[in-house]
Amino acid sequence: MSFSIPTFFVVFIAYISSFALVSGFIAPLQSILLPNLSTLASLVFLPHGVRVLAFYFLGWRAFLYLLPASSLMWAVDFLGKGIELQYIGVITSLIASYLGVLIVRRAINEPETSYVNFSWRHAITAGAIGSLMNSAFNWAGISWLPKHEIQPITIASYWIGDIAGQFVMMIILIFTFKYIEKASGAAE
Amino acid sequence: MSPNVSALVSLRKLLSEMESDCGLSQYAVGEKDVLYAALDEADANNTVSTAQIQKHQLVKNMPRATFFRALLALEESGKLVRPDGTRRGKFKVDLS
Repeated sequence: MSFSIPTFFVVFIAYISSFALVSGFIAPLQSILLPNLSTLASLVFLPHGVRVLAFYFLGWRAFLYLLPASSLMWAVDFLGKGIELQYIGVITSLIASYLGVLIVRRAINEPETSYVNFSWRHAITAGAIGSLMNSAFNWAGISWLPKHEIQPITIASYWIGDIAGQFVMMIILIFTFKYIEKASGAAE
Repeated sequence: MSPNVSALVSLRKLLSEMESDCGLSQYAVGEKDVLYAALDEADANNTVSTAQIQKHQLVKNMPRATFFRALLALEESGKLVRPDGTRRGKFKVDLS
């Protein structure tokens, strides 16, 4: 599969939009409902779903598609809002998602170019494993969390947030497709 | 099929499966509207013609291909049954 500009834009827009939804809607709501939880841990982190699905459908090339959007969002948070985040976290979260997908693909004997046996449950499992890997990177201190934020509650919130975020992201995608189909049907 | 199109089709399949497993939709796009239209137009014996369904407000703007695809799917799932001895284009609505 060669690099595709339209696919790049789809992934880029999906990642940025999901991040914007988290920053603009989920995070403020969370800070009202759970004020004691670190602002760095979203309990519904939608971009994780974009990462996992991108790695599943695009394989290792998803690094190329995801890196610009991930880097941009890191810059917005770090440089724009002044939140202390290490850039290495951008890389480790992508590697973790890729490993999650790779492990599930190996477990069900599906090569990187095939999509036959992969169900939505496999996608969620891949996301959960990927998030677990990310937690491991967090514990090892090679993530975007600053050292004083590496606490069990924050890491557990990350894990829950990634899985919940992926699930919600996939539900959003279902309704997006429904909307597109309805709109294109009405236009015919 | 190009790899990108194949990936998109697989994504749609994966999401359709999730949609059905999570109980978000029992019917595919169009099927629900056709079924509602059939129910609305059916007579006392629950019988309705294709032409009657097609004229219904819910489906009159539906593309013909989508309409007949939905009709066929509902027939296959047993929601619309062709009663024996009736001419083509007549259905009995069966929600049991």
